[in-house]
Amino acid sequence: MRRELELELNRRGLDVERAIAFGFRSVPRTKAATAGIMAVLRGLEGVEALRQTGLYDSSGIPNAANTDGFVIPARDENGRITGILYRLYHHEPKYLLPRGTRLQSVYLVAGEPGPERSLVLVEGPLKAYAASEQGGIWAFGVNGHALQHGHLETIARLEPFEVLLALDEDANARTLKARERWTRRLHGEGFVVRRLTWEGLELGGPKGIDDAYQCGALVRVRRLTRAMPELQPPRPRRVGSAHA
Amino acid sequence: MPEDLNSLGDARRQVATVVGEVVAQPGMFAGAVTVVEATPGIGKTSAELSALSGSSVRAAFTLPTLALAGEVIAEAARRGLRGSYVEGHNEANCRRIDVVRRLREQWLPIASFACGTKDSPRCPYRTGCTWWAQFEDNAQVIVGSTDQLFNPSFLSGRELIIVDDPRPAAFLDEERFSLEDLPSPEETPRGSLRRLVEVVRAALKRAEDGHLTGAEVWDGLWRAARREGRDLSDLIRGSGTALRMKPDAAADLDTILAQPWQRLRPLAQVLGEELPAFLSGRDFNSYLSYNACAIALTRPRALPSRRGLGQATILWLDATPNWPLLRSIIGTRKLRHHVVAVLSAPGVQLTQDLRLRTAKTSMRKPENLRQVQRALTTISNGPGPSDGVIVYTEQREAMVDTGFLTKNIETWGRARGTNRLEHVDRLFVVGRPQPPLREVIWPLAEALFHDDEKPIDGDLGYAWRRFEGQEWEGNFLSFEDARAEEVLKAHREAEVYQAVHRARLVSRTTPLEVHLLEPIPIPGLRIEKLEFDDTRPSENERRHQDAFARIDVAIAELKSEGVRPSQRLVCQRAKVSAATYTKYTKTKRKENRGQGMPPRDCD
Repeated sequence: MRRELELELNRRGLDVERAIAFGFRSVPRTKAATAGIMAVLRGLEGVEALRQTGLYDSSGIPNAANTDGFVIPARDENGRITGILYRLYHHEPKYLLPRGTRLQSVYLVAGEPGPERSLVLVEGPLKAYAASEQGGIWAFGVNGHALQHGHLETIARLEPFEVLLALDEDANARTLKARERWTRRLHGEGFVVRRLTWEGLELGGPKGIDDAYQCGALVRVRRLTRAMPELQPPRPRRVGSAHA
Repeated sequence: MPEDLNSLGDARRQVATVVGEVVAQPGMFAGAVTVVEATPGIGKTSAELSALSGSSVRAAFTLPTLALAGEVIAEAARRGLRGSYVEGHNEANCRRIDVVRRLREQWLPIASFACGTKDSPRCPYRTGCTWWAQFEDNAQVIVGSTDQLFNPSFLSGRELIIVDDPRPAAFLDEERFSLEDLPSPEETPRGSLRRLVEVVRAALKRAEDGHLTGAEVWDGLWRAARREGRDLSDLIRGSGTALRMKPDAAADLDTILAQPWQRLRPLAQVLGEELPAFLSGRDFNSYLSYNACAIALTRPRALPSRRGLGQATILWLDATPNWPLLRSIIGTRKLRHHVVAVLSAPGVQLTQDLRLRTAKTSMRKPENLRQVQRALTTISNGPGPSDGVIVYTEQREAMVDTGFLTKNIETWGRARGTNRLEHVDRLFVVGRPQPPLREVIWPLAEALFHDDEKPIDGDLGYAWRRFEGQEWEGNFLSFEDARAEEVLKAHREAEVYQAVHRARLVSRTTPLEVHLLEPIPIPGLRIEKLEFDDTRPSENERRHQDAFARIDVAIAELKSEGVRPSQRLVCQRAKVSAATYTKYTKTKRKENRGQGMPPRDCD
């Protein structure tokens, strides 16, 4: 771990020791450093498998070469790694995924289910980890807004009593659409869905749930009420005909 | 609305037994509420008066309206009972009615602030006051409207409280503060209270996107405070100290009345009460709701418990008990529940017609109203003196034009408890009460289930419900939360049930036809004939038919132009989606399958 990562973790209010134990690591910043690591890796068993994950591109160089950042392992509820995310410090996009990653198998589960078994669904594994560390919540992070069928199956396996959506509190149209889409999909799977709210960017507050916990914002659980269904004229049917 | 049915004679005996038991020894049932849920028309009121006339019990008797209270006094007198009649404050019985009204606006008790006692009066007319004289009458039975249940003077010294067919609205404290009603900054004392009022005003002005209910009201207020650079919890604590303290009753009345901000006291009370729930971060039910026009407060009222009234014996007779409301009123009192239901008399026929558009907004359209008028004229062959109708207030005049006698027209909201339609041989029930679901029923459910840990969900969906006595069921908009649905049924289905029974279905000796011109199944009403148009397409089917017709036209046009009708071209020209086009091709394939024709001409 380099100093930059330590500062980054401090900035996010995360415990460095715990983050290292979780698997946060700096990535090589220069080609020379990369080559050094590759030399070590070549001597290890399983390096081919590592290469196949796409953590390195075909020439053995990270996708965003010469760009500083760190990697975060996405871990499931048993601590098994479901994917690797590459967080860049000064680069857009901020996150890179290994080549060939199947998004629906990448997710991060952090924290323990309390007696209420409320699972907080967060956009981004790093955000989920940070929110769980700071807010003591049971968090489930997916990559960006990509909530996929595989994630829904995993959530069902976790058996939460309710799923709390904690998307960024900003007036971003994409976030609003994602909230609608996530709500619809989760409702469709029969989950009890609520949302977390706080005073976000619009009011000069924190955007993400992790920042909200970090700055001690009042995070609140709220209902998600669906729009009124379209009115239908009465259409009687024979009792039991639906089962015929 | 009970299900086990008895003969009328048996039902009357059952009611008389239960009522007689409580009236004979009210002390045995002290602190308990005996609820008799009985079909309208069994003779509950007669049973009460018979039981009272044979005893010396001093009872307070409430009815839904003053008119019915008058009828009961007359009936009591015929049975040799000495009864007196109590009215609320009005111009005839109070010489300072303007003061009373202003105190009411400020939620201050009239007796201690305006009247005082005989020994230490605050009102110059206290001695010889007509309003107070009503309670000094030592009658065995004191009769008033449901509102009197919250008047300690009405209940004081009475061994038994009889609540007959209560009016549900009487059990709710409802206050609404519009932007105009809120005191202006100049009228409000400096400090937290003034800033709190400014925050409420700011929140209302930003509520352009609809009606906020429950904890979201708090989010709106909290954010408005943040925008103003204030901390809402500090403002509530600061202003609550001043507002939660009632002004001293001994203070000068003019000074009290000159403080319009005093009427904010209930709002400050609720804010103070709900603040811990908000700060806990959990979702919760709130007494508050607001939109761009006003912030509203709805709370169930508590029965007086001082001077031993908490241990009063209550006999509650009701055809359709509003259970969410009743449970909140009963509180910790013991509940005794008796159900007595009766089959309709022979010769009573109920028909329900689903073909007409009788919703309140639909009836405002002249073509729908004309259709209803035509149907009423056709069924009745021109309304006669023995035809009655229950309709929305807005259509009262239209019913007179249709030919109904004015005395035979009742309107929704006024039909409960009345006997004015008992003589009709044919009763038409047009429409139904339509309380706004999200704006009225949902906040009311939150108020009635305020202390439930699980908040009320306002989600609505379609649910199938059976028409009693029929093998048909209908698909109707319902709350998915059972508690909100219970509140809705108490305000809609129960009112229709009560309205139909205005024609005294169970005690009739002559034939009766009831025509329900509204589509919702009413529990407790057995429908002999259900009329609906089985062939009318649903809205979705109609849209599909329209789209399919446009596709047919587009294909024909493209062919006539010598262009191959590809999916893209057909979709563009017919203005349909690819999904609709796929449905079209599948339908055509199915249709053509029997004829051995390959449906290849359009792709």
